[in-house]
Amino acid sequence: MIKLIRMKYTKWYNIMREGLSRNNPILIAVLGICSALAITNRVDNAIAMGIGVTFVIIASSATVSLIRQFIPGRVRMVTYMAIISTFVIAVQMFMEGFLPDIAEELGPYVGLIITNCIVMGRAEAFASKNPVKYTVIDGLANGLGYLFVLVSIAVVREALAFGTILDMRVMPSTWVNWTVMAIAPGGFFILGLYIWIMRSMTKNYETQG
Amino acid sequence: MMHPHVKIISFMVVLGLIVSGFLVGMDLLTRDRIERNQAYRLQAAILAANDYDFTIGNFAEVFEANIDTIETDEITFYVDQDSGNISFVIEGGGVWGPITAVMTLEPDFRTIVAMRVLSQEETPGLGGVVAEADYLAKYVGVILDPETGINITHNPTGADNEVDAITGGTRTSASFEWMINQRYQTAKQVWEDRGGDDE
Repeated sequence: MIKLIRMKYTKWYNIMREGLSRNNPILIAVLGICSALAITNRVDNAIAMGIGVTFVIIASSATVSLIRQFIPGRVRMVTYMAIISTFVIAVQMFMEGFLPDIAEELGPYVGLIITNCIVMGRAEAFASKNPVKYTVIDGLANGLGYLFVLVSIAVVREALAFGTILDMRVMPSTWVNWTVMAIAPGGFFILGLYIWIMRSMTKNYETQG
Repeated sequence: MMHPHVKIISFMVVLGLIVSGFLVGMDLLTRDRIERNQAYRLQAAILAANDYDFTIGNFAEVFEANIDTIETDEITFYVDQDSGNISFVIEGGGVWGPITAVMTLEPDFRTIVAMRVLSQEETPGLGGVVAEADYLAKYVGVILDPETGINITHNPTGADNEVDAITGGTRTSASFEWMINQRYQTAKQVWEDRGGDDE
């Protein structure tokens, strides 16, 4: 019990909580929603995308943190871009080589991880100022925060749009598929609901009173 | 102390060398698998259309042993040595992006043996149905009209060259019909000009 209470004050616990809930990249910061809307109509795609993004955030943040003392201030954005795109291309090659079906489903969105604001955001806001070990936790927390939101959206969308979750039938056979959930507007509806719920729960409002 | 501009340039050069070196390494690791996966899509579709048993491990050998590849300037035909069935790739624009498929015809060059979609970016659940096996099964046995080709319609009359259009995927159906007919006419012309399957 004491251990649990103490844990609440450790730095890594706080970093983890920031990424997962209080500062969730999608729900609070509303970053990276392009992919969150585009590929969340099926749970398996959401998982693959979430893992890919998590890996890219951890790897690029750790690299940025590792060389943070050497990066000249004026070219730091270019440096982040070069590092991030290298890892994204590596992820793309890996998926095309080892997970060709998922790579085909995700289509251009794997490459578009390069422009996912979460990755760049963590490099600039956290990795450039913190040691590698905390950067890895921060990357993991933000990646999982993203993965968690993607999967929660996808669970609802896949169930309503196709009557399945991970291709397993969950709806009765009389279920009429909601086509709108399969296309991007369906993602907007669900994401909007989640943002509302999350902000009410964490009492995070844009304006006071 | 190094001049700041020299520092920036040398930093970028070193960074460029490291990241490109890393990517070259990744390319060496994955290139063969990616090439094999791409070959697998096409060759597996053709082998399955001709009822061959194969795995991801041996598909290239099975393909090599049973299918003749006939290349012409405009189109490549894949002819099954046993049945004489002819496969070729059809491609064109869908609603959101390109669609590629493999159509396999009987030696009469009219009856569809199998239709398989290799890649598409249509709306999941609507136009995306075009890639689903259940939908593509409807193409088996359809007899193409030598003049008008296939007719993908919401109101079938029972003619031999008709296939049901996709519910909620009217524009995808129209694009698919157009690309099949376009490609079929080209393929038929080339096939007849070279006098069928004689080497």
